Amino acid sequence: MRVITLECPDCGTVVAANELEDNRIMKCPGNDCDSVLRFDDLPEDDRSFYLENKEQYRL
Amino acid sequence: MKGVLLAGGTGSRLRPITHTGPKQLVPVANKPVIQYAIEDLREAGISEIGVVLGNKGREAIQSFLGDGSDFGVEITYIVQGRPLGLAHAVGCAESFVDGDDFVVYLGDNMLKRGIVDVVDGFRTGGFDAGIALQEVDNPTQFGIADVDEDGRVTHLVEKPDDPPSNLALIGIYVFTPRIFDAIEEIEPSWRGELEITDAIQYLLDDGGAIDSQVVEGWWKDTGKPEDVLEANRLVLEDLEATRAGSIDTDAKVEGRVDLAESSRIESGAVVRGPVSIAENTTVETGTYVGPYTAIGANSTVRNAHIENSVVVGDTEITTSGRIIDSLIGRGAAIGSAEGKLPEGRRLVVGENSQLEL
Repeated sequence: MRVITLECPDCGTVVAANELEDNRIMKCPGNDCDSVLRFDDLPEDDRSFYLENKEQYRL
Repeated sequence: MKGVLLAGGTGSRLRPITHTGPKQLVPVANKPVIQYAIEDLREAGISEIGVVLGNKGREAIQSFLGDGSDFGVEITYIVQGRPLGLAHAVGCAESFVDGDDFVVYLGDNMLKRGIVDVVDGFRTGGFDAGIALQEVDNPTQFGIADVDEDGRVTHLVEKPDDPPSNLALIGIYVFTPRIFDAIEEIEPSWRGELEITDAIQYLLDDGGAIDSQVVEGWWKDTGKPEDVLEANRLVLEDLEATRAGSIDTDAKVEGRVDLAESSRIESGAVVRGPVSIAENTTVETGTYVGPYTAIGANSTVRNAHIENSVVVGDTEITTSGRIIDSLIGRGAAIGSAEGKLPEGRRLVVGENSQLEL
């Protein structure tokens, strides 16, 4: 199964696609990081794959 | 080599303690379980650690570990979100690992002898993965490895009806980046989770060489209250006592008792080690603290009898009843009903609590 993540460009915190998709826009969960992370920050290919296979990423 | 510490999970078997905090922060001998894992990784020469977080207790773990500098390591957080399985958690760490070999350590596990042997074994052999194993009495309850005479793994099977060996996987793995290719190839199991045993089996089927190290000394998964008490007992067994706190002249203190500098044992109290007493805690007169007890910070124990128990902290215990084999959560108050009418026990008990009265 393809595991899709996004790395915060400022602090290196990694966030899984399911978390990004749940929030759409979120403050980076890294300690003391003010960056904003978006599902749309993922590469187009990753976003499309995730949305087409969304059920895989739910329990 | 890097470390990936898995700190997700709901902690459902440790409720109600985990209603208010993650299981990885439950103290064993007055130190959160996850700290033992960090120290084991550091001892193995690993200072770059990715901590994989779920949705439960994320902020509490980040608040405790910070950037890792208090523990001599450098921490990067990896937010897995939904609990999609160990292999998914490991897969989330790919960009952090960045092509290095890495150790995966379950954050609620504890090992007496750490992971140095497991890591060294892997480093010497040119393997695609290494797994830590331990002999168990009930192999049908575990993931089990079949190994050849050289210790190479030949087959893995999850909770087998007919176990090929009694060697259980104990949640410590060493991987090369090849594991990410394996994770991409496997599918979620019947329970909807991406299983790490499936990924390792994929490596095996693909011709990979998997090393195994049978771990000596005890190993504990601290997932249940009785496991926390057992781990507490095992750690206290090797306790190095520093009686830094104050002990009144007429207090009786025997055996190994680790007493924090700001804590006190008052006259008329009896403390029989091994016992750990954290900061700003007072053991008052008439109290007996028996072996294998850890009392957390900012607590008061008065006129009570307590043994083989873990008191998380911020706790007041003033009952004259005997408390044994107990796990008492933060902020709990256990008083006395003596002299009150009608006679009986008065309880305010949270969901999923377990009491034996």
